[in-house]
Amino acid sequence: MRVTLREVTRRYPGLTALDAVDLTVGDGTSVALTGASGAGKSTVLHLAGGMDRPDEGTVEIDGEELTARRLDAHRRVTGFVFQRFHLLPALTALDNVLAPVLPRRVDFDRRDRGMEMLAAVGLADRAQALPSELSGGQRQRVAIARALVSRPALLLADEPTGNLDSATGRGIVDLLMNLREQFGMTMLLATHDAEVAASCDRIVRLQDGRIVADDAVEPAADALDRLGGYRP
Amino acid sequence: MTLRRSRTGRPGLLGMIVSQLRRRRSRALALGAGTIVAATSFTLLTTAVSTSQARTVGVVQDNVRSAYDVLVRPKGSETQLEQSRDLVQANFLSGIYGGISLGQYQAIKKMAGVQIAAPVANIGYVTVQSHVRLDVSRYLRPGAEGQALRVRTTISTGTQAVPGSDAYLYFSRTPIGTVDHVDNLPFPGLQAQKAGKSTYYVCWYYNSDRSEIPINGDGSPRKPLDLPEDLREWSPFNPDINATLTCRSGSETGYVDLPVSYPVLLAAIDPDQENRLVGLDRAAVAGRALRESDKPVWKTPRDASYYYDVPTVLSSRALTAGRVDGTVEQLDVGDPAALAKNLGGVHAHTFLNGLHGTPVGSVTANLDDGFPARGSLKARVDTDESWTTGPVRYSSSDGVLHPVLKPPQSKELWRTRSEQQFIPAVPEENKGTQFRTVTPHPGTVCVGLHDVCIEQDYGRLPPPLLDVVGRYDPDRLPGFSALTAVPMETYRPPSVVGADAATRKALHDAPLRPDRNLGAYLSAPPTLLTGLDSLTAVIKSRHTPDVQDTAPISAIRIRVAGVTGVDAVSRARVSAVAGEISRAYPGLQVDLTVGSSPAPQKVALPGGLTVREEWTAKGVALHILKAVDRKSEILFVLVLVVCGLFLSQAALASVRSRRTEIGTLRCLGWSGGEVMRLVVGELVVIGAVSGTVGTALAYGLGAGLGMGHAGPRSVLVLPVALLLTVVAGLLPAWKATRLGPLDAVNPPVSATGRAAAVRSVRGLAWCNLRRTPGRTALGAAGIALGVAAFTVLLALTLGFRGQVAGSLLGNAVVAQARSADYISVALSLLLGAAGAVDVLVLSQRERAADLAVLRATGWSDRELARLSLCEGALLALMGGLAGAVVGLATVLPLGAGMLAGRLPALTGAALLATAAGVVLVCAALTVPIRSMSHRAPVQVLAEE
Repeated sequence: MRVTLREVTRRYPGLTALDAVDLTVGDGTSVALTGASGAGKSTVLHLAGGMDRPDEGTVEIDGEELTARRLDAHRRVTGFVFQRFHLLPALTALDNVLAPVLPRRVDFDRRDRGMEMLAAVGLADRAQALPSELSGGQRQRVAIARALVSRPALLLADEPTGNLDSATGRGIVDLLMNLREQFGMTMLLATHDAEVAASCDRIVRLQDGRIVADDAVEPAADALDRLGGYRP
Repeated sequence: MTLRRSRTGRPGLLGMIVSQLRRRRSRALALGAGTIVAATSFTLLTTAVSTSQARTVGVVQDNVRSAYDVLVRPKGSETQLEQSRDLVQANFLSGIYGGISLGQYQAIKKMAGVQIAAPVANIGYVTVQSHVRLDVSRYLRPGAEGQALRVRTTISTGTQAVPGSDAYLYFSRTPIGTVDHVDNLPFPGLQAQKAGKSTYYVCWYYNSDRSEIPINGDGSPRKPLDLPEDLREWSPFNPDINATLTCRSGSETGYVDLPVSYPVLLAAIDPDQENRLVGLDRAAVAGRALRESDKPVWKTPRDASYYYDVPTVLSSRALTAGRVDGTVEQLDVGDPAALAKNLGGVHAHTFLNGLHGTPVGSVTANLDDGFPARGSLKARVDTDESWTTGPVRYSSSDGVLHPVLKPPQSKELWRTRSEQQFIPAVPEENKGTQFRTVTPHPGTVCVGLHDVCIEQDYGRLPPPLLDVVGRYDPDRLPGFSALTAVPMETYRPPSVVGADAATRKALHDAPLRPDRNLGAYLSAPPTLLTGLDSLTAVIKSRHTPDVQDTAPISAIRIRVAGVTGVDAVSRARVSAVAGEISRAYPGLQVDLTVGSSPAPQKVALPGGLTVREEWTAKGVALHILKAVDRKSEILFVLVLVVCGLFLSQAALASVRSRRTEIGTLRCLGWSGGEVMRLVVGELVVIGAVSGTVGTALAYGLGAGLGMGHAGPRSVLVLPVALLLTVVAGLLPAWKATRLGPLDAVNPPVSATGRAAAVRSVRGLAWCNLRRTPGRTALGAAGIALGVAAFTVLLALTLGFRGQVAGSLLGNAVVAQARSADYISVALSLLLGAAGAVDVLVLSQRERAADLAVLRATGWSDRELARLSLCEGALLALMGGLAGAVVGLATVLPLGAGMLAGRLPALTGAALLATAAGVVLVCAALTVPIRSMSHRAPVQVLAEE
């Protein structure tokens, strides 16, 4: 899925979160959004995910403008991972994973798919646990499984490691990257963490609602070559 | 956000409170709205209750004065049925003949507090002899020399039709004159017709019977001729025995006179007391009213036996129902010239009765037409015989009274003691169904001298002459409130009407009236009145002494001095008089009739007729006032409980929704007391603001709904709102202070019952309800409260009706209280639904983040609405069913007596209220659902 923001401006009372931003995320690529708090990272994710509407400019999905009528449908093919997990406290891990597909007919067995996703995030054995019985990392894994249950074409992750310790965070990022590769998704990831950002194909740096840098991430092997490092 | 700083430099509590209210506006609004609803409802409901109570008391007070306050009857005159149902039988007086002595009456009359003591002494039925004239002129053949008509009669009353006597008309062109003597023997007014050389006494033979034939000393019949034949069955009920022949001639009108006797109940009263009680003197229409000075006068005529002349007043109407229908036949008389001869001979009966008749038409007349005319003081009252009747006894089944039938009358009832003959014109209706025992009282066979009989019946008195000195119209007696009427059988027959369509049709949509059958279900009231001083002259003229000789009074109706209503003082005065009578004469039956009201009873009569008869329920007014007081007290408590619980819910839900915030404050070092002050402070502000709004609202609504008391009461809304909000919020505020800092992190989710997997929106709704039991219980409690309040209120209303209805006054009270009752019931249900919605709205807010997440993961607004509605419906269903159970369990102790037969209806109503609650909650939820759909998920999540 290709996501394009054209001249997008989003204002909140007393604050311009995004100011005429142009950004294109190619199909199957991953882009890290970095910048200080309030720079506009989350706003880009919300607009791309159809959870918010721009005041000016357009958001296009695969070349088509994301209108109000298409929001529900777009959200169904978009996975979202929040910094604060936002699991439904009354539901078990498995039920949380299945929550996005609960109200509609699907062409797969829900339970199998849910268990598959939990297995993919390494939590098959905690399927019946309530969120309150899980650690922070486990909750985020459940949130990732929930985001992927409907096999989205676009995965949006807002500070997915923000509430986790570094080791757990690293594991979550690795998991996200592996799954993205496995399912061939386009991914937009907002983070403060340079190491996490470096896991993506591109790093877009925002400041005061504007893009101030847009750099491709050099693959590690190429970097070694450039630096004259060892190559077997 | 700028907070006002306290002296210590920390944001002041008031500033924090104001800030909270501003920033959490919708939460404050939800609680404020709840407070407004509760406080306004409290005011309106209590106003409705007190207005209804005031109106009810007004209706009762306005109608409480009846003709008399206390009724004294002889012991044993109260039937078991009356005793068990606290009633006075409608026709109680007609079965009582004596039992209270004149001495007792005089003593009661002099008792302190007795304003009027009006006795009535039923003496017995005597007969007024008269006739009903039927004009048959139009059926006469013009020009015929001699002709005869026969009128075959039927006597119809409300419930029966019996054959009456035949009446014949002999009409001749040849004049019929009169002679007074035959062979020097006196035959005053004897009709005679000449035919050729002979003279025929054309009507004498047919109309004479054995008892009236003058007999010579040797036993042979006296002139004009031989003994007429006696072909009749010797029974008072043989239609032929009273058959008469009318002889008319020339150009005279053709009519027949049908002999009719009217049994009238002779009763003695105290004229002065009666005038004061009901104004009998003002009802006089001819002659004069009875006076205190009226006494029997001993008459000593030269040419007749001595007797007492007893002054009486006679009703202007017979007060008995009945109609004569006659079929007119033209008789085939053969040779007209021989008619006078055939009628003027000993075989007149055989001849006339045997003639073939051809029906040519019909005539009809009311029996009342024969009663002495309204302005006439001439009435032939036969006192040789009198009769008394017993009371009607009943059995009861399924709320319907069944009068016990008596055997048919014996013909001996009507035989005179003096001549051993039957009295003339015995009313044919006496052949009908008997409900009362009829007892004959033959008169004395007496030669009066020195005031007493000196031969037979020594010491007794000769039959008196009842001298009608005046006529009175019972309809002119003043009416009292129909709602609190007491039995006035002295003057009016009981009001009896058809209770079902079939009976009404059978009665031709007219009330059932007494007829001339002495043993009939209804007895005619006394229509011939005399003074107490005449009692002896009348009663001692009977051959056999009985209880009436020594205790002639049947009942005393007493008005108590200073009684103005059913207030405590009036009740005390009536009770004092009744108590004194009871103490002085334990043998008498004393009933308090003040505040009584007609209580219709269904009575099943033979022939499939069901009638409604207005008995009198004693102490109805007091009973109603007690029931109203009790109902009002319960309603006040109920309203207070409903409003208090409603606010508690709202306050609890409000505090619950601040769980995280309170936890955070605790983490920041706020003490329990500080948290409590913050929460209570917010409640005070919300209570004050919503109270002010509620005052205006209550005033407006009260004025709009026409509640007179709402104006002054609406000023109570502010303090009530403030008090209720703060009091209701104290518990949740205290609970908030018990919240540990970590409680804010962990959502209040129960880990129980995780077995069932969630695979549908319905399943998710159920799961949400199950795993958040506190929130679920709170929401369900709202609707449970509404349904329980509705059920209790409905039961109370039905119970009140059950207690109060059944009498006319009670029915009037129920009718006027109906709208207030319905308003209360509807408001309680609405209040419950509002409570549930308030809780649900707060709950929705609490769960806004959850819903936003679902929305973020692709749930559409419609799917989220389904989830919310599903939760709301399930919650309302659980709450409603719980409320129905609680409500029914609460009202069950009211007992079968109060709710008799109404429990299934009440259960149905509670279930309907549950359904209504579900609908109301779902409808109300659409508002927050719609508002939620207008907010971007990120906005909601950002707020979290």
